Amino acid sequence: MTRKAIPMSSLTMTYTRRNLTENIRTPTMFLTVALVPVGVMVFFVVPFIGQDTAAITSATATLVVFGVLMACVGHFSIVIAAGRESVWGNYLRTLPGGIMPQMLSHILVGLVVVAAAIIPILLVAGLFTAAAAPVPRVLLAAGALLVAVVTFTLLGLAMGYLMSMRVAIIANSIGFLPLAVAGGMFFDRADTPAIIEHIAPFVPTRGTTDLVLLALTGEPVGPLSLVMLAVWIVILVGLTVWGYRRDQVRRFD
Amino acid sequence: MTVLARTRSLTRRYNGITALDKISLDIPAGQVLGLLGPNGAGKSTLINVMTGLLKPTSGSVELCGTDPRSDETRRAIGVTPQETGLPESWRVSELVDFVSAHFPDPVDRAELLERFDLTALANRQAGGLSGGQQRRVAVALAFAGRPKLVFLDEPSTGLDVDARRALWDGIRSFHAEGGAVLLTSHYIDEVEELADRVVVMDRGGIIAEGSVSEIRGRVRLKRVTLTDPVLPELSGATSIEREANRAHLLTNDATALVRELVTAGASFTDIEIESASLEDAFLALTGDERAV
Repeated sequence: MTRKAIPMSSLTMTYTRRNLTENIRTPTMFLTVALVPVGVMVFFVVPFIGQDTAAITSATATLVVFGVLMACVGHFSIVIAAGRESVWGNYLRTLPGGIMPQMLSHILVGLVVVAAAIIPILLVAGLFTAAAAPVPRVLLAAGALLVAVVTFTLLGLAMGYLMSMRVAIIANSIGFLPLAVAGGMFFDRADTPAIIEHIAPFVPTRGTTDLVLLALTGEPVGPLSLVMLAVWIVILVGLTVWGYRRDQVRRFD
Repeated sequence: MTVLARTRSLTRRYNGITALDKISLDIPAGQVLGLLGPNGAGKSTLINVMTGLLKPTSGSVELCGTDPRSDETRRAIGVTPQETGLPESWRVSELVDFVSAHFPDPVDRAELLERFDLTALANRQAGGLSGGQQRRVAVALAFAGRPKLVFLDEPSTGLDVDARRALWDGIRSFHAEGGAVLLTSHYIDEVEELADRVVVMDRGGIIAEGSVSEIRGRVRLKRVTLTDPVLPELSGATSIEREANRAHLLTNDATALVRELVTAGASFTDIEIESASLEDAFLALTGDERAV
C-alpha cells in the first residue's frame, strides 16, 4: 500500500478554513482592527477635515496604513507566538505536511484581517467625505500599501518569534499608539511637534505612510524616511530569520 | 517481523541531567509495548525523541526505517496532544476532520468517534468538555490517520472507570487490526490489560524488560509497616524506610519476613501488611538492579 501525501494546497485550505472559523467564533482580532481605525476616523478626523479634499485624502491614506499596522502586527505576532508556545502548536508538528501549509494559511488569514481593517475606512471616506484621487494614483497607492503590508507583517513575525505570547499581547495593546505618534501619523504635517518631526523619519510607520502618500498625491516627501524604511525592512527580515532559526534550535533541543 | 521503531544507545541530556541513558528498544509491527516507570524516569522524553520533537544527544532513532521527522514517517504514526491543549472553540467533529485531513486514508469520522465512545460529543466544543472527555478526544485523534504505530503518553490519567474502559476498547480494536502501540502509564493494571511486552524505565535507563507476567512476577511485593525502635538484621526485606517511629519494609514474601521478625525476637507492634504500590515495586526493582 502506498501512502500518498496530501497536496499542500489542500492542507493550506484546511488550515485557512479552520483559522478563519476560529477568528469568527472569537472575533476579538476582527472587531479590533475593523473598529478602532475607523472609529478614530469617524470621531476625530471626519468632523474636522471631512470636506477638505486634499486633507481628508491624505488622512484616509494615513489611517489605512495605521489599520494595516494593527492588522498585520496583531495577527502575525499572536499566531506565531501562540503556535510556538501552545501544546496544540507542538502537536501540529507531529502531523504530516510540514510547516508550509500553516504559514500560508497565516498569510491568507492575515490578508483577510487586513481587508477587515481597510474596507471600513475606505467606505467611510468614499461615502461621507470629500476624499478623492484619480484611479491610476489609487492603484499606485495600493502597490505602496503592499510594501506597508510586507513591512508590518515582518514586524509581526519578528515579534511572534522573539516574544512570549504574554509579552506579545501586552506589546499589541500598548504598542500601536506610540508607533503611530512617533511616526507622526496623527499630526497635521504643518504643525507636528518639533521632537516628532526629528524622530519620525526613523520610525517605520513614517516611511510606510510617506510611501503611500507619495504614490497617492505625488507630493514629494523627505527621502530620509524612505531610506529608513528600506533599512527597517532589512532589519526586520534579519530579526525574523534569526528568531525563526533560534526557535527551531530551541524547540529541537 | 517488521520493526516499526528502533532506538540504539539513545541518549538525551539536558541541563546536565541525563534524561535518557543508552536506550535500545525495538517495537515490532502489531505489538503493544507498555512503558512503565516513576515520574521523571524519562518516558515522556523517550516519546518526544522518538516522535521527532526532540533531538537525541547521541545514539540513533528510526521510525519505519527512516528519520522520525520525515513526512513519510509522520503519515505512519499517531501522536496524542495533551488534552489541555485542544483548541477550545473547535467542535469534536471538527478536530477529527482537521487531523484526518492530513492523512491519505483516514478512519471514517463516525467510526472513530464510535470506537472511543465519543459519538454523543461530536458537536460539542472542546473547551466545554470535562478533562476526561478531552483526554479521550485527544487519544482518538492519534488513531485518525490509520497509523501503524501510536504513541500514547499516560492516556488514562484522570479518567473514570467507564471512560478508561472505553479507551481500552479503542486501543484493543486498533491492536486487533494489527496496529502497534507504545503506551506509557502509571497504572500497572492498564499495562497488564493491554500490553504484549513491558519495559520498565528508571532514571533514564531500562531496568527490566519482558512479558507482562514476567514483570508482574518481579514486582509482586508486599509492604509491611510496623512500629519498632530497633529492627534486627532482616534478610527478607528488599528495602527498609523509616518515618518517625514507623518502619516500612518491602518484601517479596511477607509470611517469611514476619516469621523472621518473630524468630529474631523483634519487639514490633501495630503490624500492617498491604500490597506494595507500583512506586514501591519500582524502587525495589531499581534497588535490585543497582545491587547487581
